[in-house]
Amino acid sequence: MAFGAVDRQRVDAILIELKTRGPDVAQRAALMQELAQLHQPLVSHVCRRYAERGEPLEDLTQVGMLAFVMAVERFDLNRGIDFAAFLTPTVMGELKKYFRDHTWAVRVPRGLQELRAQVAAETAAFLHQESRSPSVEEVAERLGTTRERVLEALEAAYAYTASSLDQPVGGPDGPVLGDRLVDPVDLTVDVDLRVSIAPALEALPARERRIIELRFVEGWSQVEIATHLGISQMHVSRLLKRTLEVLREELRDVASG
Amino acid sequence: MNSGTGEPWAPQVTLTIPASARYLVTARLVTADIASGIGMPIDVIEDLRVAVDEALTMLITGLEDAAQSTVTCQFGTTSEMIRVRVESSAPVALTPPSDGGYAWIVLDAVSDEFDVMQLPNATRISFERASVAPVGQVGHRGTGHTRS
Repeated sequence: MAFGAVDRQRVDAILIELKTRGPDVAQRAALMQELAQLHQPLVSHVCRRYAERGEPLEDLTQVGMLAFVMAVERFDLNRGIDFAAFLTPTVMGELKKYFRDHTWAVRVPRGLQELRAQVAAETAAFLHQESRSPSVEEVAERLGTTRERVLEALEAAYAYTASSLDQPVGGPDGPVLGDRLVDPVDLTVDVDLRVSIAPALEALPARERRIIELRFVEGWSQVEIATHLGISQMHVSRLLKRTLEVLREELRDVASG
Repeated sequence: MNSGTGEPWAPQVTLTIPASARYLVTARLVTADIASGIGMPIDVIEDLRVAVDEALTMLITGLEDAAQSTVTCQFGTTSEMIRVRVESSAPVALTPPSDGGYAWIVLDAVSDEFDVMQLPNATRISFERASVAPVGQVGHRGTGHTRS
């Protein structure tokens, strides 16, 4: 069977090194890199299971590798479970969160509505051109999506109503749905650099690091972070911007060094 | 994992599909529909789709003569759980879960229990999943996604 497996012995050795001996930043980065390479195929395998929903596999793999970094940080050697068994639900949890927050909260209700409208328009156009009703597959092909998505769009037409971005979430005075949109700033770096981000994050002051984690790992909105830390949203915005610049500088150094 | 839940159960829905990746969609949609029928949360439904996909892919890619073979999915539900059995129409040589193959790791992550059985003329993978995650662990156990 062509299903791969992870080299557990090497993984354990690296994790023990990372968790117990506290190697310096350079060693740590090298160990993380190796650990990432050992798990990249598993992460890709999991991501492929989610890749049929119109999100590019590379984007999902980045989410997956970010989850990998989180999993390494959270992994407890004393629990006596395989790292791969811990990593997999972490990756799946992050992928789900990604779909929920980045596509579900915003794009899915609207996206499915749009897709539903596109399916209807495409069906009409097809009928006009070919004098017959199109198959789901034909519609999917023309719209550059999958059969499943089209079926979902057809299903969803009954189930969903469009959500307003101004709809409050978590209570009438809570943040609105639009707050959960991703900031235009994004960490556009490749997967290897994402892995290198761990030491850079560790070098940040505690509060800045926490803000980055809340924003990009936990997916909190700026308003939620501001409330949580008792500072203004503007302040959070400024801190985020400055911290991201610092991180970008560090990553540029990593990339060029 | 691998404990084999033992007690026999009668499927409420049986779906037989050609052993082809083309029909994974069919199986996933049926799974999603049955799971949503007992009110399972979207996250659990997502997991079940992945589980069915993973189990069927193992069987389909492992069949020597896939073009002449079928796989059968059986579903049983109670108000709290879903049980799924997928079975190939011919035996498939699978690496045991203890070898740590990706597919098994995934199946382990998305099911409460799973089992693989070699029958005289078939290979059977079965798994079950409770509808509700333990309180305080929305989504999936072990990933700690609940917000305070």
